[in-house]
This record gives sequence, C-alpha cells and structure tokens, in this order.
Amino acid sequence: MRRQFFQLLAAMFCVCVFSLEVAAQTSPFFVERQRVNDKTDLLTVFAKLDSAKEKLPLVSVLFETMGDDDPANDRPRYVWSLTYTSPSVEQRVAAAIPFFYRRSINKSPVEIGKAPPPIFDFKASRWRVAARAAWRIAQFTVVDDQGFIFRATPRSYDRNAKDHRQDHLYRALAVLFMLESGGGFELAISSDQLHELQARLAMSNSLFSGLVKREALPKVAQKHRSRWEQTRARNWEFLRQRAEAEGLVFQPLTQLDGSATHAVLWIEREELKNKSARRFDKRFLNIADPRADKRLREWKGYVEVRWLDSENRPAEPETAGARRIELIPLAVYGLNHPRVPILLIDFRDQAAPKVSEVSRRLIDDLSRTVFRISPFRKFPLWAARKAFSFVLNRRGDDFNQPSRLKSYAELDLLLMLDDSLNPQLRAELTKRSRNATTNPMENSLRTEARLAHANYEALLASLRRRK
Amino acid sequence: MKLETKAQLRKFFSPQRRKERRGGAEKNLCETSAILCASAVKMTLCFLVFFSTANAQAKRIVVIKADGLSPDHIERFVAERNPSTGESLLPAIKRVFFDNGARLQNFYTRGLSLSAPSWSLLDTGQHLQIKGNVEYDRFTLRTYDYLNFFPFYVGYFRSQQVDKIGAEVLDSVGVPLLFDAFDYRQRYQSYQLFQRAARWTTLGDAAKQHFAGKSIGDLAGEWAGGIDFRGAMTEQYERDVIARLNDPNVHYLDIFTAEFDHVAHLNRDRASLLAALQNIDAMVGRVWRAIECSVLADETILVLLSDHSLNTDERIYSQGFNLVSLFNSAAGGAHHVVTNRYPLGAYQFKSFNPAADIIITESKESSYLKGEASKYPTALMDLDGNERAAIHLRNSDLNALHNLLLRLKDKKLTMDERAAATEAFFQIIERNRPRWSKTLTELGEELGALRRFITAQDKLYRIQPKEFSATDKDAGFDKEARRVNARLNQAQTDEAAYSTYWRTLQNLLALKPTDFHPSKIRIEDLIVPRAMGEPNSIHQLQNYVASWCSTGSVSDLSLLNTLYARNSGRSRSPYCTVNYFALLAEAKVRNNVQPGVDSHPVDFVAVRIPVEEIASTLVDDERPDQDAIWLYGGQQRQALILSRKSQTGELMLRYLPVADLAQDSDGAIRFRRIGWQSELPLKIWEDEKLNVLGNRADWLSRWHSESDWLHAIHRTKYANGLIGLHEQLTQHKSPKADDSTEGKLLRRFWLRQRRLAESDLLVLASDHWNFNARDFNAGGNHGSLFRISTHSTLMFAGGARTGIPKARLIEKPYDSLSFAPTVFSLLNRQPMTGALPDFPGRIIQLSN
Repeated sequence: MRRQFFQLLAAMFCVCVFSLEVAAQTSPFFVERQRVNDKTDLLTVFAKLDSAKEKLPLVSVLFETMGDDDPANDRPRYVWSLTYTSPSVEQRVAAAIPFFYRRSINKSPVEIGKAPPPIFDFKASRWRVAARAAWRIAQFTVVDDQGFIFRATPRSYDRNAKDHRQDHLYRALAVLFMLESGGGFELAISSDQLHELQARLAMSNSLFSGLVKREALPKVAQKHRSRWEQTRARNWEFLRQRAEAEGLVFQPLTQLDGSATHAVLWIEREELKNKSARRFDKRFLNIADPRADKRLREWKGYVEVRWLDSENRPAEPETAGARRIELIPLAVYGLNHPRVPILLIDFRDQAAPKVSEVSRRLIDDLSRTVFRISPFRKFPLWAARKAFSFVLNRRGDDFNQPSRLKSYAELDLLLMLDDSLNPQLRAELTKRSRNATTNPMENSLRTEARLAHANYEALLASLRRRK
Repeated sequence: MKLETKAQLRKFFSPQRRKERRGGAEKNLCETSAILCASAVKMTLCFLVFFSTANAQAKRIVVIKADGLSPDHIERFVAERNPSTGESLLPAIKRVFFDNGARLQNFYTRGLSLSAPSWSLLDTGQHLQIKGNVEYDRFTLRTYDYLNFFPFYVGYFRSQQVDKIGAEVLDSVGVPLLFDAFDYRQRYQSYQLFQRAARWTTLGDAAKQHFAGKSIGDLAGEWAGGIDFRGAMTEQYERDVIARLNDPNVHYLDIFTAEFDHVAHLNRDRASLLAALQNIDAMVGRVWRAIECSVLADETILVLLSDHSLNTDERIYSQGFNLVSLFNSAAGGAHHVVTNRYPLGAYQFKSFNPAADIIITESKESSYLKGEASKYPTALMDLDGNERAAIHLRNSDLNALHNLLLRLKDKKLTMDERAAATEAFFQIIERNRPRWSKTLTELGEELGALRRFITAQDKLYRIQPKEFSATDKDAGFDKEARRVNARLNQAQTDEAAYSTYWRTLQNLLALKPTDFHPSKIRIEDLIVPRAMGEPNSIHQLQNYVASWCSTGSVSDLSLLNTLYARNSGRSRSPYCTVNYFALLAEAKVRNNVQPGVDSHPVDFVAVRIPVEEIASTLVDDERPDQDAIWLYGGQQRQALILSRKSQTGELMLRYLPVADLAQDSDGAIRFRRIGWQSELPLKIWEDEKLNVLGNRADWLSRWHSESDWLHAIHRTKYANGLIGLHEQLTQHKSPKADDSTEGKLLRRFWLRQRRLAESDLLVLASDHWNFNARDFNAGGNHGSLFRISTHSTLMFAGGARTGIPKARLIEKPYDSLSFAPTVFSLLNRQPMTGALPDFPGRIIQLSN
C-alpha cells in the first residue's frame, strides 16, 4: 500500500512537477517539456497567440531519456505534427478516387479517440528505404498489370496520403526552424537535438535519408536551413523586382519569427485609371494584366487604404506630405518555392493556381496510369517527358512545376498563427487558400486548430495510459 | 642591409629582369633551350642572392586567401562562446591569430570592394590597373571577365592559355605578381583569380579523396544531405598545401576559398554565415597544426587575408535595381545592353552556356537601331560585385552620326533637310577630327609595333620545344613555352580587332562633303560595329544623343542640334537626349518595404575629369596636378575630389563641395561652390566618426595628405572611400617601361587597352542596394565604398623566429597596398619603416 502510494506520488511528480516551460521573451513560441515516465519526456512546441490569449500546440516530440538526467544522451523517438491526424473513412475513400483533385469533408475533432499518428518515427527511418522499394517493385511488376483501377487507385491514395503527411511535416519543420530563429529553447532541448530533428524531417523525402549518420545531422540541418533562407530571400527579391517593373505594390507577409514566407501584390486603384502603354509581362507573375481588367475597375471586394510619405514609406495620415492610396489585392505568392515565387491565390481567378498545381499531378497520373510511361516500357516517351519537365523548370514556367505543398503548408501556418493581419484579409486568404487545395484528406484551417488541441490531449492521455 | 634589400627588390622587379624571366622575343631565337636554361639559372641565382643576403629568419609564407571574409563577423564570433563547451565559436582563429598572432583592426581595400581589383592590389602591391570584375574594350568589345574560370580551363586544356586573364593583363602592363618573386618550384598556388597554370591532378585528387574511404552509407548520406563539391576542391588545395609544407624548398603557398563570399551573397542569417566561418576556422586550425609539425615551423608565417567584406545585415535583404531594364527603356536611352552574364530574371534556357562572354539584351524601344542589337550594342555594363556598376556608353557623337547617316539614306528627305543633315554630319566629324586623328596616328604606330611583335613571337613559338622532361615541367619550362603561344594568339586577335577599328575610323575621317554619297555608303564602313568609340565627355553624358526624336521633346540643345534646327527650318531639335547624371540620381522605387533602405537605389555617380578641362575653373589653392573626380549625388549634392603630389611626392587630396556642375559643348566646365553640409557624396560632414581636430569645416576645406585623410575618415560610413575613388578613377602609370622605342610603343598599346577598359560612369548604389542582374543576391553584396564592404581581414601568425608578435591588435589604419611590401619585409626580417621604393604602400608596423 505504501509502495503504491509512493508510485502514485512519483507519477504525479513526473507529470506535474517535472514539467518545464521555456520561452524567450522575443520568441513567438514556447516549449514545454514534460516527463512522461522515467525513460521518456514529451516536448511540445506551442505558439503564443496574442488575440486569443491562448497557446496552440503545434509539434510534439517524444524523447527517450535513458532514465538519467543527462540531456546529452536523450534521443528523439517520434515527432507529431499536432494538426496532422488520420483521415476519416470518407476522406480515405475520396483520396482513392483517381483524378479527384479537391478537398472533401472535414474530419470532426470529436472523432479523435486515440493518439494521432506520428509524422516521423526515428526508428522506422532506416527500414523505410527497403519497404518503399519493395512496394514500388510489387506495384510495377504485379499490381499495375491488373488493370486501370489497380494502377490508379493505389497510386491516387498513396499520393494523397503522402502529400497529406508531407504538408504537415513541412509545417512541423517550419515550426522547428522558427523555434531556432526565436531562440530561448536551449533549456528544453539542445541545439544538436533540435538540429537532429530538423535534419531528419527535412530529409524524410529522400530515399537515402535513413543512412545519414547522426554526427552528420547538424551539418545537414544547417544546409537545409541555408537553402530555405536562400530560396525565400531570392524569391522575395525576385517578386519585389517584378512588382516594381509592373508598377504593383509588394507586401511581404511574415511568419511569427519575422521571416517573410509569402507576399501579396496589390495595385493602387488610381493606377487603373492610367492605362499603361507598356505591355504587362505576366511571365512569373502568372496573373492577368490588372490595368486591362474591367473587373478591377468595378472591384467590390477587399480594399485596403494606406498612407505613404514622399519616400513611399508607410506613414500616418497626419504626416506632412503623406498621400492616401487605395489598394486592391491581386495575388498571394509563396516565397519558399524552388526557382520562382509561386502563385498561391489569384484574387480574380480562383482556379488559376489550382490549375497550375494540378498540371503536374495530372501529367504524372496520366503518364503512369493511363499511358503507362516508364523508363522500362516506353523509354523515348519517358525521356521526352523528363526533358519537357526540365525545360519548364529551367524557364521557371508555372506549369508542371514541383508541388506548392510547402508554400501552402507555410501559408496555413501563417494564417493560423499571425494575428497582425487584418481580420478581413485573413478571412479572404483563408477561404481562397483552402479553395486551392487538391487533397481530399485536407481539413479546413479552423478544423485543424481544433484538431491540434484534440490531438494534444489525446496524445497526453495515451502516453499516460502507456506509462 | 636595408638598402641592399630594397635594391634587390628593385632589381627583381625591374622590366629587364622581368623580360629575362619571361624569355623576351629579342633573344637569340635559335638558342631557345639555352635561353630558357640561362633564364632559370639567372632566376635561381637571383633568388639565392635575394634570400641569402637578406639573412631572413622568416623563410616561408602560407596565405589563406578568403574572398569577402568579414573581419567584423570574425570579431563577433570569436567573442561568442559555444554554450556546451565554453570555447570560442571560432577556436582556431582565436588561438592562432588572436592569442598568438597579430591582427589589423582597420585594414581596408583601396578602391572598390570588388574581387578582381582588390586581389590585384593585394597580389601586386601596385596601383590599380584592373578596375572591375569584368571590363570591356571600347574599341573592340573584348571582354576581360576576370571571374569566369571556364574559358581559362578550356584554353589551358587546349594549350592556348597558361595564365588567367588577370595575370595576362598585369603582365602586359608590366606589373609583377607577388608570387612571381618565387621560383616555380618554390611556390604552390591554388585556384584563384590571378592564377598561373592549372593542375588537373587537383580535380582528380579532390574527387578521389572526397569519395575514397567512405562507406556506401556515408556516400548515400552525403547524397541525401547535399554534396558540396566546391568544398571538396578547397579541401584538396588544403591537402596539397599541407603535403608541400614538408618540402623545405617551397617558400610560398596559398589557399583560396570563396565560401564566405558565396554564402554571404545568398544568406543573411547568422547560422549560415557562422557555418561558413567555422569551415574557414577549421582550415586555419589544420594548416596551423601542419605548419607546427613541418620542417620550417619556426620560420613560417601564416596569413589570413581577405580582399573585401560584405554588406550583409540579418534584418535586411539587399535589394536589386535593374540598370539593364533602365537603359533598355526609352527614358534610359533605349540601349541594346551588353553584360557578361545572362540576366537571370529572364530565366532563359540558353543562360546555361558558361562560355558566353557577351550577352546582349535588346531594347524593345530602340528607334534607329531596332533589330540591330547584335551589331550595334550601345551600352556595356559591368554589374558584378553588385553595389556599383561601371557603364560604357557608345560615344554620343557616333550615335548622332549614325542617326544622320540613316536620315541621309532616306530618299524622302527634302533638299533643305539633306543639306542641313550633311552639314551637321561633317560638323561632328570636324569637331572630333583632332582627337580621332591623334588616335589614328598613335594606334597606327602601335599596331605596327604589334605586328613586329607578332612576327618575333611567331618565330619564337616555332622553335619552342614540344616535349618536356619531368624536370623541365617541374621547373615550369613547359608553361613558359605555352605562354609564348598564348601571347602570340592574343596579339594576333588584338591586331585584327584594332585594325578593323583603325580602318573604319580612317574611312570616316577621309570623307569629304564634296564627294559624299550616303546612298552608296555602308554604315558599318564608317561606324564600327560592336565598338563604343572614344569615351564620352561630361557634356556628352549630360546631353547624350539617344535617338532621333520623333516627338521633338528635347532637353539641352547642343551646337549641332541648333545648327540642324536652323538649317532645316525646323523649330525643334531632332534628337532626344538624356542627362545620365540626373536620370540615375533621380531613380526612385515605388516599393519601400524595408526600414533602413532608401527609395533611391543610386547613391551617387562618379566620373573622372581630365585635369586640363577642370584646372582653369579652379583658383590657385585648389589647382590639382592630376585628373579630378566629380561626384554627382543630385543637382545640389556634388563634389570634386582634387589631387596633387606634395613636394615630397606624397599624394595630397582635397574635397570641394560644389553644385550645378555642367560642361559646355566647347568643353568649358562651370560649377558653383557650396559650403559643407549634410547629404553630400560620401556623407563625411555629418558622420559622427569623422576624426579631426578643431573645426570640421576648416579641416575638411584644406588639402591633406592621403595618410591624414585615412586617419580622419576610416571609421566613417564610407571609410577610405575618398582615397578609394582616387585609386579607382586615376589612370595609373605602369612601373618603369621598356626604354626601347619598340618596347615603349608596345607598352603604350597595352596601357591604351587599360584606358579603353575604363567606363564612362561609375554608379554607386545606396546602402543595401545592388545592381546585380544575373541573380538575386538578397543576402548581401559588396563593390561599394561603404566601410562594411571595404573593411578587410588581415591577420598574421608565425613561428618563433618570424618576429610576429603575439596577441597584438594593430589599430593604425592600412590599406591593401601595404600587404605586398609587408610580406617582403617580413621575409627579409627587416624592421623597415616607410615604403619600399617600388611599392607605393606603407609597410605595416606589426610590432610596437
């Protein structure tokens, strides 16, 4: 009896007393580390939300602590992106339908009864190479020959499931990168551990990721982070220059850590009156000429009023010499896409980004499931398709480009966490970004926020039960 | 001993010795082998005498050349501690240079913070002859692309080239490189801008070493994490250097790394910059350990050196301003613009081609040259480095002639208009006749000398041995033979190109009004395709003839325009002109989204004014004896930098604030003197870090020596920018020329090539702006005169007998001209003060 009492006391001590909250003043995140049992800790990254005065759980990591107090030998075991959950039956069925490129229905948080699936399992990573290769061989040699349905359905389901997981994995990775930028995490997790998490998540798509040695991970994480920064910086500048050249207004959108991941292009209403003699160059911007668009002249949608000083800096209305401008939003671009800023939302043509996004998927699906193009069966066609993709990619055309999944994932994160955006604009962006979703397994942003809380509670409950 | 050493240096770098080393064409052609042997013996003797007489304790120098390495970042990260180990984040640099060496706190590049010019200063210790990362010849459109290694390796592979283009250019004007002072066997030079010869084995070894001894898992892991082959090459150079440290006969070694520069161009974040610095730190640690274990450990000096720094800020993206688009536009003159790289914004598929040296971006708004971009480009741009642009424009009078010729070919022209246009056409020729005739005469003489040089070089090449023994190769004799071929090829190319220009100019000057039939004339017989002609004067740049103006809206009327208007009975000038100073300074962007970044991308424009044009407008006390430099930051924000030599030969400089400077069509310059005020170019007046005693205005309004200026301004925002502008825009003489008539003519020709590579306009970007067109370098840039860009790294550490002090921080400011003489001083163990006669720079005082 006495022993049981002490065990109960110890358990309470573990869960309640050994919970450590770490947050830097400047960081938009805080980290909570809880002892689950004598051999495992759960680390959770929360976002600080100003308006709601609440914390939103984003990412959890289960650490194996070896039962000692030395944090240096703690090893991550599972990572959960808390907005990620197993799809509902309806979502799964929709995901298996070939050429069905749209969101289906939301999963209800009420359905969450068990712990969410981890987005990354550290111990499984080394076997994933073999498992993936085995399934591919089986699909190619056996399943594909059974007919279109057998070729298309598993591929469609796999692709949607993979994209769904990838979407949330990108979010988790973005959170971990932002956590590092904000600083103040060191008491809960060491830099090396954070880099290990970042590196494993960043490489999760790579066939050989499981073979990378642990000591090489900080360097790998650094390389990935550098590449992210480079891409964002480059696209930021590319889009600003294109906006400048076309006489548009460029507004970067920043994540909680201050990094600009997206940008909005606007046009001054006054500009619409002066029909420019200059030809509008839609290459890269991928939107219609705003000065020749009747819809904009009669625009009834969202409009923002700003004041600029003589040097075109934002100013207060009472500033001497300040001029008032009325801005109409044209488009939102993702800045973390390889090669070029990618169109995510077109305020005049909702279908445009979705068509571009679907183009590659459609070509992939048609060539694999209908025409059965592969290097072994139809090499010339396969080579031609590769060459076509290479040229388009090289030219930066928004057709048959790599998926803008990462950009949408970060936009979701931004819309979920950033309270500084005008609520009306935020609602517009949320609605339009979801319209562009092509994955039947995706949920709405509002649902995902609720799912995050539900998932977190379910995860804690599950871990406590296992203890 | 001191005088003896200086004499040795003078002797070593004398043109005579250089000619001997290179195997001059005038030598007995039948005894080439003997000559080569004799040269080698002479060189060896020279070095033996040089080093033995010096009784040097420091015998060997190892230089880690880190492109763009910022001393401010080093200081910052050395001071920061790794929380887990408590060690500095850059432990090797701290141990080797901070604790056991000497480092300069205020070391600057002299001139623009660009790699090619900056390394040329460091590698020669001589004044600038190379003024940009890419240069264009105005007469021939030859491109000197100093940073493009691809043509060099192709040329080297085909045995047509042996030195990189930078080394070839410096050879032509008689400027020796620092490592030329070491015999071929005594030196190891890694890949770099001023490189002699290439080692194919390095590439193979790098691949072998990079992949050897690694498991499949390691390689797969590296693949997943991203393979870094550029890093593999640097590592191989490092391994080569470490291996050669065991050879006591090797006295000069260097390793070049551009990692920090590359990273800082693309990334502004702390983690990326720190990672790049930690790689350099690790290299310093490994090389230092190898030195400590080597045979000459006590006599070896290790140097960490950079050519410039980078303007990078964690909070700000560097913003680009597209000058190519501006100059393509009608407002910018509708030029067909030449760059050395494809503007990446176009994402053209053909931009893959690394061998392309001239890329022409066609103007869609060109009027008289529509569709003739490849034949008649009219603007050449060096945008590299990126915080500044060097721009050549086709001579405005050539544009006017071209316009008039096209008009005169038009059969619909009325008699009166034809007469007026013909008169205007010949007016332009007559106005330029003295200048063009001089060019024709001098160039003709030079081409004659060049043809004789080609004949001699051809004979020399024919008797070169084709096979070389291993010993000969070790001594570099095969490279010498190949060098003969390379010089011959270049001379033949130059001769053909300049002869074309010469012939066309002669055709133009030979035209007579009485025998002038425009319809029978081919324009390319009078106006050389792909040539910019003579440099533009200030008047021309302020009234640049951009096109035949159909609307008739004009700015200032030139004499010619007035004449044409009068004779043709038209009330308006036929030309559209552009004032490039106003155009650039007034450029403004709509999107000003970053605090701390100005909406005007251009800070100021700098041009050289020949002393004879400006002298008469200055009072006695202001009068310079060298060309002046005009800085244009706006109509009311201008300055003149005046320079002259003192009685002791020291460079004296003066900054004169002016406004409304303009040049008339007859060449007369007028301006208005203004008082000291803020927002003048270089922003010296308002800078809190200006270090002068007494009244600022009094001090700033007087002549001061170069060293006084350096002490006063080096901590300001533009650091030594005033001196740098003088260095950049002055036409420096080459070291003592060959005394023979033939030699003088050839040297004059090669110096003419240098002058022809100088641009019309030097455009300096505002803080956090850049002019890059080939990529978007949002991380950071260099090329400007800002302290953050010109502030460079120089650190020394040495063995017990080198005399390098420990833990010494040198606060006294120096610039890059000081590096080469300091190295020679250290290798001779001489406590010399002042500069060596052959070196214009001061020797750095490492000890108290």
